[in-house]
Amino acid sequence: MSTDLGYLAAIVDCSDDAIIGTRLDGIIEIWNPGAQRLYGYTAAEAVGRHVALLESAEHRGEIANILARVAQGEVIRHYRTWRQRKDGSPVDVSVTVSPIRDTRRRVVGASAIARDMGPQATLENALRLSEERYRSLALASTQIVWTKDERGDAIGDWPAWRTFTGQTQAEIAGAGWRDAVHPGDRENISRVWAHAVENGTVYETEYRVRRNDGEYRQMAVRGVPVFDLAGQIREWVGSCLDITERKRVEEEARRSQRELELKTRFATIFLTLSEHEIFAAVLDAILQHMESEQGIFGYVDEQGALVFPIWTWSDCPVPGETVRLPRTQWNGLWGCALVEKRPVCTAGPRRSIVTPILFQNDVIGLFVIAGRTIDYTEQDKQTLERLGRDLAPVLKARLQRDNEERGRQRAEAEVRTINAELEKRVEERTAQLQAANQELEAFAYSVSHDLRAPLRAIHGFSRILLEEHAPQLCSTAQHYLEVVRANALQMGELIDDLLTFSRLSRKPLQKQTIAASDLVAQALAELRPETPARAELVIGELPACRGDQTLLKQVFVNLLSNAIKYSSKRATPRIEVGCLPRADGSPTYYVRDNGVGFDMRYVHKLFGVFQRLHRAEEYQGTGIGLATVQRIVHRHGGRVWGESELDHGATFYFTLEADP
Amino acid sequence: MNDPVDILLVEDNPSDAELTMHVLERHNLAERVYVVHDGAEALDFVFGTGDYAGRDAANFPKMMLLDLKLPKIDGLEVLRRVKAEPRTRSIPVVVFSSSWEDRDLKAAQDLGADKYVVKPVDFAQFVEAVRAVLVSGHGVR
Repeated sequence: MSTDLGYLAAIVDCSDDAIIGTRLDGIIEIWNPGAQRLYGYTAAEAVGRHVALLESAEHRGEIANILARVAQGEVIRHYRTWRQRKDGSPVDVSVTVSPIRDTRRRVVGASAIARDMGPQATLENALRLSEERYRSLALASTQIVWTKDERGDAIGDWPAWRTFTGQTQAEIAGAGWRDAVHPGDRENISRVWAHAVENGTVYETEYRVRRNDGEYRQMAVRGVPVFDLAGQIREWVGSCLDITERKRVEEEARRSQRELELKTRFATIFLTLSEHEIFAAVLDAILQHMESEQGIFGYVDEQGALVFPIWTWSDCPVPGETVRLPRTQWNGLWGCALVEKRPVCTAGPRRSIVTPILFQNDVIGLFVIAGRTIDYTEQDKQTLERLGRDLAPVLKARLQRDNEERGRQRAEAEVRTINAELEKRVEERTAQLQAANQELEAFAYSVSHDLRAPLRAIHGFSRILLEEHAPQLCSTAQHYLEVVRANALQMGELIDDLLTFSRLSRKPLQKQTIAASDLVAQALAELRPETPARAELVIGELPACRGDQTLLKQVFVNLLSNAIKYSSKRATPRIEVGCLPRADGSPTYYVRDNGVGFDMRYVHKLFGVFQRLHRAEEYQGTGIGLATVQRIVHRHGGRVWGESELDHGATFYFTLEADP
Repeated sequence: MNDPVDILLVEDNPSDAELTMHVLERHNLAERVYVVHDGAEALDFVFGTGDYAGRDAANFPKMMLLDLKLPKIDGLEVLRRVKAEPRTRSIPVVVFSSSWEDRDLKAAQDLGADKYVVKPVDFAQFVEAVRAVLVSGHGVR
């Protein structure tokens, strides 16, 4: 901004036109040398006075009028009028008046540019203006303008070149300017120049020019021939432009582009390739990027050792194999880079750069590149450092992922081993159970055949004795025989019940939808012979369930049979079948009676085989009914329990699977 | 040896055999009951082989009372062979077993047993079954 202001000031100062700045009220604030030349007043005389002092008597009020229009934002262009000089003489002028605005776009003043339109002034001005324009252009431009003759020797002064190179005009003269050109570029200049001169075409090239601080700057140079009236080349005019910065920016952009591409490639590699492929792929990308032949890329494993899965080092002993270096072996160049956590660079025939890859200040990997034809530069080192920084998070993530994967696989393997062991144990246990079951079955089979045979004989022969030989027997003997027969019968029942029980346990479940109310009806029908006519039967609402029809009927038969039996001595036996409200969807059925009940102290014995809580003389039974109930309910995945108070009835509950 | 036989009782348990004989006699169900003590002997008797070579094999018993659990050749095998042979297929066979097992009952039925009676402590059912088979001559299938 300040440069711009300076520029403006210079332009205002050196302008041949009168440039006057006034406030809106007409008070002069700016008065340039051109104004002094035109009107004869010095700046000191004019500034602070009203601009109307320039008005002649004939044009009185004109300026006020112009200012009023400008105040409205209007621009008055090339207004031709007469003004009066300090000495009173009239002057023919063309005035352009524009509003001056403040930062808020408010008009705060006017600028007037007045040009002497007298004939003489016009001619002089035209010439001077042309030259000035050229000079201004040369000055205003960042380009270094030059004029050369056909030989390429300097013509006239090259002020910008002087400033840029620090050469004096004398040093520039002739071919002297070439001294500032990089020696390596001079020959090329001559060739291109000769070609342009010969063909009268545009001269265009690039060369390095030594700046006044000694630094060579890259210049883009362009020149054109200027022809005279006869069509002959009179001279060459051209310019040089310092493109070093542009080149640098371009190079930077190219580099950024390449590194961005490399980053993308890294990301792709890490995301898509398997563990043993990524290192080769990454190294390949880096080597290509760094124009290097050889390289090593490795990571630090869980134990803190440096592992190189990939190795393209021609003179190393173990190419193509994974190398593992524990921390104790971190020495030499690599060790230095790893321990000091910074890249290390060597020059000469075995030139290389070793770059540690750091993640949150931990060394997680390392790459080494070598085998380039020219030494690595500080810039290469920085590039590698950047690559290392870019690589670090992806490498870290990948290493973590691989570690987790390995951990997961280990855990899975353990689980598989445990499962296999479990399965083996289950198989063994199953085989044992099957063997036991078979034994049990064989036992039951033999019981049903062999145990019953002697009973039949005891029962049968005592019956024959009683029926056919009674006369020969005394009454005591007859009684004893009766006892023998009754016990044999009882034993037969026990065996039958036991066999039934055993069969229930072995029979495969055939689950189906069961209408519980039907089952209860069937069970009650079966039990009718033993049900006292006076008994009161209350059947509640019984939801359907899933289970084995035959077995579940047995459950109801057994429970109802008990209920009938133990309430049979009541004046009004009352037997109730119902279902509790479902809490979790599975029905809880119950059978309740108002019978003798049982002592809750013995509740744990209720469901045991051959367990009886009442004396046989009081209530007949083998003590296997509830054991059977429990076995069946358990086989259905349900629960069964009983509640009672001695002499106040009993309730038996069991749960089953709901019918879906 | 060639006397006609009313009932061939195949029973290895002497007490059971005696009891069965007694019941048959008491109920006048058979006068000529012949007892064999294992499956092999039963087959020899029926087919006139072995110890029974020369017996008139055409002189079939009116019925067989067959225990299942027998020495040498078990009852089901005896049943199978008797029912597989056209000559003997028509002999009514009452399987008279102490087994309640469904599989035994089903196997006996599948092999063509005419009746299946579980050896009772009370003989009423047995007597009824034997009488039914004897009266119909071919048993009730």
